[in-house]
Amino acid sequence: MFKALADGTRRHLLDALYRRDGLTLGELAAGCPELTRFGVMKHLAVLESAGLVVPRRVGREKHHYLNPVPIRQIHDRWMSKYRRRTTKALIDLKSRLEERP
Amino acid sequence: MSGPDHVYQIRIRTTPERLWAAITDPEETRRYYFGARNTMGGPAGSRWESRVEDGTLFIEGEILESDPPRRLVQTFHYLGDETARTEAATRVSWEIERDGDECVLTLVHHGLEAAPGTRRVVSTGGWTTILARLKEYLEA
Repeated sequence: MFKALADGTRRHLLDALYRRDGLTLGELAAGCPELTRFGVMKHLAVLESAGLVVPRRVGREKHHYLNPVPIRQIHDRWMSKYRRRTTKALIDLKSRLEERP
Repeated sequence: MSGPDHVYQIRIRTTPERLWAAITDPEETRRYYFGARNTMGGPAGSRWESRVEDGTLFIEGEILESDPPRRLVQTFHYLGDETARTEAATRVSWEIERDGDECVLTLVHHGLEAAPGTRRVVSTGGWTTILARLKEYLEA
């Protein structure tokens, strides 16, 4: 899973699915004009074997879904429940300060 | 045919029969489903409900398909939130596949486009918490 996340293109594909879940290969490839369709397919295969993306067939098309469960498990592994509130407060502070021009 | 809105998948070291029991037996669901007793063991056409410890009803619906220990489809109407309560029922399916000494559990949620209140509740840690705890419970 860490290997899957270590690549910028794969994080870009996850970002695309986070914005709009259930995209097809064609739609994902359109968002990565620097890559061939085959290149996108290879990256998707890595994400699928890491469990981060789950493919589903809908009619004749294959759609790709972002699976948040492994990310949640990583979060739970290192984040004690007592520290969650403080961490969230700091992240919220960062986003509030950084959204100002 | 429109696709699902959310797909969650988790691998759990257990058998399909054991996993099915953990999903459908109210005495087991309370161990990982925010303390709630879920009555999802009935056949297609029966009602199901989820009640928290003090007896408050917080989710209700109908069983649409029940094929133990492989597939369960239910309508899902979340009542624990003012907005969600007024929304149309959504649809959840649980799919169990054996893979060696593990099971792959896939949970698919449909109909959230028309139910933003329910979407908010299930996507801000709802399903991920339940599935992570279910795994912890069964593998303990």
